Order: sequence, then structure tokens, then C-alpha cells
Amino acid sequence: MEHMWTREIFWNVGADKKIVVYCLAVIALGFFSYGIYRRYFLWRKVSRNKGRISFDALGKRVRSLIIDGLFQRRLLREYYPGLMHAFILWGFFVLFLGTLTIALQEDITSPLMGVSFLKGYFYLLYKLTLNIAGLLAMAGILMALVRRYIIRPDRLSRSAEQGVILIWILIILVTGFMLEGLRIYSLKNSWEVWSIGGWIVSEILSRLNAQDFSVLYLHKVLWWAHLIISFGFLAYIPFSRLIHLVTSPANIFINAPTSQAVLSPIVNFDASGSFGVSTVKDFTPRQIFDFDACTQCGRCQDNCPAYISEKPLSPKKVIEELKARWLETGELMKEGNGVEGKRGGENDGLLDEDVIWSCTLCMACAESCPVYISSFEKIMELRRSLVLMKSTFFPEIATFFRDVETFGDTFGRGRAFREDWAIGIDVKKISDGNQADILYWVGCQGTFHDRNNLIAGTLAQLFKAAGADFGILGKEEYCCGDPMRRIGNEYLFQKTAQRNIELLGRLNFNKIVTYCPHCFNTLKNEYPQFGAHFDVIHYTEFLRDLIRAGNLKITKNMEKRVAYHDPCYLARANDIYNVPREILKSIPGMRLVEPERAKRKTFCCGAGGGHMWMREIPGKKMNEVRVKEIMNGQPEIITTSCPYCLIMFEDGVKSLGLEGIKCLDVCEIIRDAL
Amino acid sequence: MKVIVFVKQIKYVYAQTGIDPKQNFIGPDDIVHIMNPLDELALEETLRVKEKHRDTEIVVISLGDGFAEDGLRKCLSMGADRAIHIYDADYGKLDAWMTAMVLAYSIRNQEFKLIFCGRRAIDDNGGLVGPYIAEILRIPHVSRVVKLEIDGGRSKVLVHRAVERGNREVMECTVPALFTIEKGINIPRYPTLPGILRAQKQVIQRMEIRDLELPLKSFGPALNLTETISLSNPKPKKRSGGLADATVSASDRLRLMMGGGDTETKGDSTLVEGSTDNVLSEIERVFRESGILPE
Repeated sequence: MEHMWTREIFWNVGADKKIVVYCLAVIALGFFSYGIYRRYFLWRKVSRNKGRISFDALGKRVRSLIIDGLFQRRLLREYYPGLMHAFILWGFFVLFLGTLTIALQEDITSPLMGVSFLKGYFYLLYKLTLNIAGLLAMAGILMALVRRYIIRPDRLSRSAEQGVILIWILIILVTGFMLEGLRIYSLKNSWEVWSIGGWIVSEILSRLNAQDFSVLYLHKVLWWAHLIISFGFLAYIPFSRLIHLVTSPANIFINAPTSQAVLSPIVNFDASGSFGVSTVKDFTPRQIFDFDACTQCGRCQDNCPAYISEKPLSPKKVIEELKARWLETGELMKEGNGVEGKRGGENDGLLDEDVIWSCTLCMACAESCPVYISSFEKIMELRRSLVLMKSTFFPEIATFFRDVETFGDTFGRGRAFREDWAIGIDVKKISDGNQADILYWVGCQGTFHDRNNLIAGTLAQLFKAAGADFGILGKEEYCCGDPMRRIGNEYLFQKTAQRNIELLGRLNFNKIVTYCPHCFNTLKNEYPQFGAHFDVIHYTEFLRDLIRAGNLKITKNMEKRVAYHDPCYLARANDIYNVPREILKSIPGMRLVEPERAKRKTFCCGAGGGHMWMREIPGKKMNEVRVKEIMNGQPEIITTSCPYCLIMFEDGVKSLGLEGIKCLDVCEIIRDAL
Repeated sequence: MKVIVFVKQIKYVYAQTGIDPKQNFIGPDDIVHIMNPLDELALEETLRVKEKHRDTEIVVISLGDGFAEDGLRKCLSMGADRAIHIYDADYGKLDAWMTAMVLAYSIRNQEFKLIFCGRRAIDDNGGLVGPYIAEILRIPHVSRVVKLEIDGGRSKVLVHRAVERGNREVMECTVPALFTIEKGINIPRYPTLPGILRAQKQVIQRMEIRDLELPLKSFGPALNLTETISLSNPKPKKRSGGLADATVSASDRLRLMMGGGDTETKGDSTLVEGSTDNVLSEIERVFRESGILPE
């Protein structure tokens, strides 16, 4: 009986109808290609810039495409929506491969070589696989319908299109199973139980005692309906949000190797040039492609500290609004009209300024995006335009820029006071004739802030206790440039960076150890853009090495509940989250409590992106939101390894009236445990 | 309409970390070169005039050594049209009168409507150069201007002048005239990047003092009318310290120390106590009653 295990491909319809099917397929593919072609115009032509998609780091791109695209790694970080989407994707992926297999047999192997391989055990396996795939996809669709219309999470925007798409897919799947069921019912082969879905339908039909004639008739009608609906679906892809079937994987491929921790530099400072983005046309084609890869899943919004703190910013809306401007502008350009969309005019910003200034550049949006879209990158471009072209920003930012220009530090205190934090510690200074193994980069916060300079001192004392050969720049140290760059003053940043690179290149040292994660990220990841490659480590890594090597011996017990907060620029930007935990765990008796958002998912303290020097944008206080979240674990000590975070938490603890909660830097805990 | 702005690049002493008492403990790291902030306000006010009267040409002039060029460059980046640097290698030795002579003679033959400068330079706090220039040029001047309006015919200027205790004097003045600008008049802009880049390429016209045809046979610090003998820090104010008396609570002692001692509040002043919100609303009430804030 084994040879019987197969099916006639055009059963009940007639193989002579093949030509009609292929005509329909050509029409559907025609619509599909036309849609993509139209889109291609919008992707490439709206931008004034000639961007090329680079193909370096090909391995990484392909790897991300497989892991994040096919295996849905980033989506599956959230179970319900992740599985929901993965079921649909995997289901359809397998069904698509199944259809290709049939086409392979019917159009190539069978007519050319006379080989039909869809029979026997292979056919049964094939049927089982496809049925499971179809059922998975159906489960995914039902989950999606439940989520969209019953659970209704805040982050999903409502539009009829999404409902239409879901129902459409559901109809394709249901008619598919019904067709199979009708065929099984009329052929009555017991081995077709392997086609689970079809078998269930045929069982229902036999309960209903359906008439053979009407079954055959219904099958014929449904067969054509299924075909037309499926081809219609293919044609609909480029005209709906389904275009993400094309754009999202492409975007993963394009953006996967881009480091979020590094902002793109402005390379040519030309007086007649335009800097940043003031109209949609200023975006690069790659950035515009981002808009089209977005499916408005809302993960960025769920993870955005500004949105959670009820500030006017939602990273999802940023992309949504810019996408609308882009499409509007593109359509106008197609009509041969040079003008831009409603809000795209030169004098009318693309986004409200409050939205642009609410961002703390914490990178949570880019981290959470399943398809590597960076919302903050777009905000950064708009900031650059505001700062460099229009010079419109809060007056306190102007003061801040002046302070850095005049005094070389973010506090406007001046180089005369640069060494004051080290009074009484006796630290060596690295200069032209004086070298050391480690250059200890203190940073403006460690140098000037009344709380953080104590930590800078503690660190120096720990280094001394461990016998490290280290020195500081002293009065020659200068702001690293991070806040200026992240506020949008790329020019001032590059001037600062060049000054520092010139100085550091002249001196003799092996490694730079920084106190502040922002300096760390800038020196390590951003200075290479200007040809300076230094060996930079964060002090937590250095302390870990010293403890491992036995140069620092932890002797005391600390029976304390400690919550460690991950600074964005350490955990998210540089993947350093296990190191500080390892240090803290090396202290006997210490109980580490993890905040809900930890490691790469950490939450901004509220001071990033220049907000240390900016007024509070209306909404909740971000530091209080975070402190409350950390306090859910009921720690006695909140610890972190970033000067900004520490100040923000000390303020938050005070303003929330939490008594007895201490905010300490990791190195202070180490000092107490020695 | 040509408008002249005189700016001064000053050595701003922000710290005294030196060791030499003869230098007033001012070390080499304690000085930064900045543009006199009040001159920056004067330039900003001119730029605002230009926004209203598009045909305005702004000429900035600075007397000084090499550093003066940095200040002029900044003025250009903010939006000034032309810059003139009157070079003085011995910068800092001329007194207010001689400085005013040089500056006045640099524009004596030019057609200008308005002259602006800061009310004083924050290094020597003289406040004399502006009025002297007006005197030499025989034009009217108004000092400490905090608000300025030019009438439609451009023949008169209406100015508000700061006088003591927050009072204002409203004056009208014919042009050409000189105005010295007091702080509070505006918030100076931060230059745009195209502005900065443009200014880097612009040529700063350089003049020597000897080219100015001063009505003097010789020239130099020897002709100064005044001479600075010495500079010193203010003597620390005497304050009655905190009470050692243990009967006073710690918070009271702290308040006494911060308030400058155990002194009674003067005359009809009011002491406001309580939470921050209370204090603020009380201050607001007092301000409204006294007419500082509108009712």
C-alpha cells in the first residue's frame, strides 16, 4: 500500500486548470513587484543624501538575520507576543517551503525527469509537518486576535488594517484545512490521519454525514477561493504593513553590525553645509528604510524611560510620525511637486521640541527593537539641527556650552581646581616626562562634584592599596565630550576630542581606567572614529582584576541587601554587567537583589543625554520612577558604578523620603569590605 | 545704518590658587580669556536691532593684544558683519581715558548711528570708557541701559536705564548716541555652526594705534591720567560666629551661622519660615503687595 501514500495535485479541479493558476500567480507577482518598485522610489529618492548600504561584517549580518530573523531571538524576549509572532512566521515559512516543494515536483522534476518524490513515507512526513505548521500559524493568529481585541496592551495602535491582515491570514489557513478535510472525506484513506488538521475537518464532515456531491462541489469552489485569497495576499504585501515581510529582515541585515553606543560623526564641517536633520529629505536612505521596517510593535515605547515617566516622548510615535512625513513628502515628489509634507517645511520642525529634548539617549529603544531600528538616532539628528543650525535650546544649555568652552569642564569650575579632589592622597601626575602603567581618567564628575569627588578619591586609594602603577592628567584633563555630543553639539565634541587625542597620544601609558561610564564609552568607542585607539577599561573591570589577582583582599562580612543598578553606558552600550556583580558577590554575606529592569534592559537614571544640565521636562521624575522600581526588592543599599546615576538616586531617595537607604558606588562598598 | 560695538577681551580671574602674595595669589592657571560678558550683551542687543532693521551693518571693534582676535571671531560667529582689531602689544597699560581716545579716534570719521558697549568690563569695573568715548565724539550717551527701542524715523531712541533699587529711568535720546548696556537686557545667543565656520574664514581688519591720527604729540601709558597702584582682595566680613552655648539646638545654631550671627531682623523686614512652598507663596504675596509683581 505504501506507493498509494500520495495525492493528485490538481485533484477534483483538473490539471488542465494549471495555466489559469499560473496566470493568476503572474498577476499577483506583478502587483507585488510593482508595489516594491514604488516603495523603492520612496526609499531611495526622498533623501537628499546618497547613502550606500555597506556589506562589511557580512558574517555578523547573516548571523543576525538567522538568529533575529528566522529564530526571532529579540522578539522572543517577551513570551506572549514573541511566541505569537514566531508561530505565525514559522508556520508560514514552512507552508511556503511546502508550496515550493510542490512546485519543484510539478514543474521541474516531474515533467523533466519524470520523478515524483511526494509519496510514501516522505509524503506522510511532509503532510504532518505542513499540518503542524498550519496549526501553529493558526494558534499565532488567534493569540494575536485575543491580544489585539481582548487584552489590548497600551503600546498597540489601533487601525483597521491590522484586523484585516489577521482575518485574511486566518481565512487562508481555514480554507486550506477545509480543502484538505473535504478531500480526505471523499477519498476516505485511513492513512491520511497524518494530516491532522485536514483529518479533524473530515471527521466533522462525517459526523455531519455530508453528501458526496455537495462535498465535491464545495471543494471546487473553496479551492479557487483559497487560491485567489492567497494570491491576493501576496499582492497586498507591499501595500500594507505586511511590507515588513521584506523590510524587517532587510533592516536586520543592514543594521545588525551598527553599534548603538557610537553616534555617527559629522565628517565635513563646511560653512555652506547643513548639519543634522531639519526636513525628511535630510535623512539618509538607511534611516528612511528604518521607518518602513517598523511594525509599530511598541516594544521601544514599553522600555522608554521617558515614556514610562510620562514625558512627551514615545520612541514608537517618533518613528510613526517621521514615517508619515516621509510618505507624505514622497507622494508629493511623485506628483512632481517639490514641496514637502505638512510639517516638513523648513521652518516647522519635524517633531515637537519637547519630544526631542525628552530623550536621555539611554538606547533602550534600539535595544528592545526586534529589527534594529534606532529611534534615538533620529532624535539625535533632530537635536543636531536644533543646536548647530538654529541654535535653539534651553538657555541653561548655552551656559553649559560656554562653561566647557571657557573652562574645559562641565561644571565651569576651571583647571585650577582640577586636582583638588586628590588633596591628601598623593597621586602621581602623568606628563611628558612622567609615565605610568595606568592612566586614571577621573572625569568632570569625579573631579568637581561634591559627592562624586569622594568616590574618585576612594578609587585612587584603592588603586594605591593594590599597588597599581597609576597616574592622573591633573590640570591637563579636559571634558571627554560625551554630553556635548549627546546634546547635539557635534562641533564642540570633535574639537574637544581632538584636543584630548592629541594630548593622550603624546603621553606614555598602557591603559586608561575611567571612573565614569560615559567617559569610558567615549574614549573607548567614539575616539576611534578620529583615529585614536586606546586601551580603555572601566574601573569595575580593573577592580575585578585586582581582586582576582589577590591585590585587594576582601576580609569583611557584609550582611546587607544590595541592589545594583546598571548604568546604560556600561551595561547596554558595553555589555559590562557581570563584572560589577562578580565584585559584589565576592563579598561574603552580601545579598544581591536585581531590579526588574537589569543588565541590558536597565532603566535610565534620568541624567543621560545632557539631562544633567537640563531642566526637568514635565512628567514624573525619572530618578524617582527608577528608585521606586529598585525599592521593590527592598534593598538597604542602592549601588551603581556611574556618577550620574548615583547623584540621581541620592536625590530620588531624598525626595521620596526613604529613610535609611544608602546610595553607594561599588568601589565604596569594596573599600568598606577590605 | 551703521552700528558700532566696542568689545573687550578680558583676563577673567576665576580662582586664586597661586602662591605669590605679590600676585594676589593669582597663578597662571587661574586666568581665562573671555569676552567681557556685558559687551556680549551689547552685541546681542545690536543683533536684535539688526533683526528689526535689516539694513543695519554691525562693526565690532576691540583694542587689545592677540587674544582680542578670539573675541572678535566670536562676535563674527554670532552675526556681526565686520571686525576691527586695534593692535596694542602693551595691552593693559592704558587707562580708561587713553583707551577711550584710541577707540573714539578709530571711528571719528565714520558715519554711524549708534554705539554700544558694555556698562563696564568685569576685570577692572571702571565703567568709564563708554562715557569718555561719547564725550570725545561729542555725542549723547546713556549708561546702564536695560531696554532700548528705536523709533520709526531712526532719529530718536527710547531707553530704560537702571537706577538704584530696581528703579528705572525712561529717557529719550537723539542719534547718533552711545549706550552702555547693563546686565538683564537680554540673553546672548549661542552661535550657530555655520556662523562659527563662516567667522573662521572672515578677515579681521587690523589697525595700529599710530595710524589713528590722535591729536597728541606722543602716545603711550605715559599720558595716562590715572594709575593703578595696587589691587587687593576684599577683607573678610566680620561675622559673629555660632554660639558655643549648648542650650541652643543644632538647627538653630546652623541658622545663626548661616544668617551671619545673632542679629535681629532690621526695621520693617519680615522673616518667612516654614516649608519651601509656604516660603515661596509668602514671598510671592509680598512681591505682589509691593507691586514688584502685577496683582
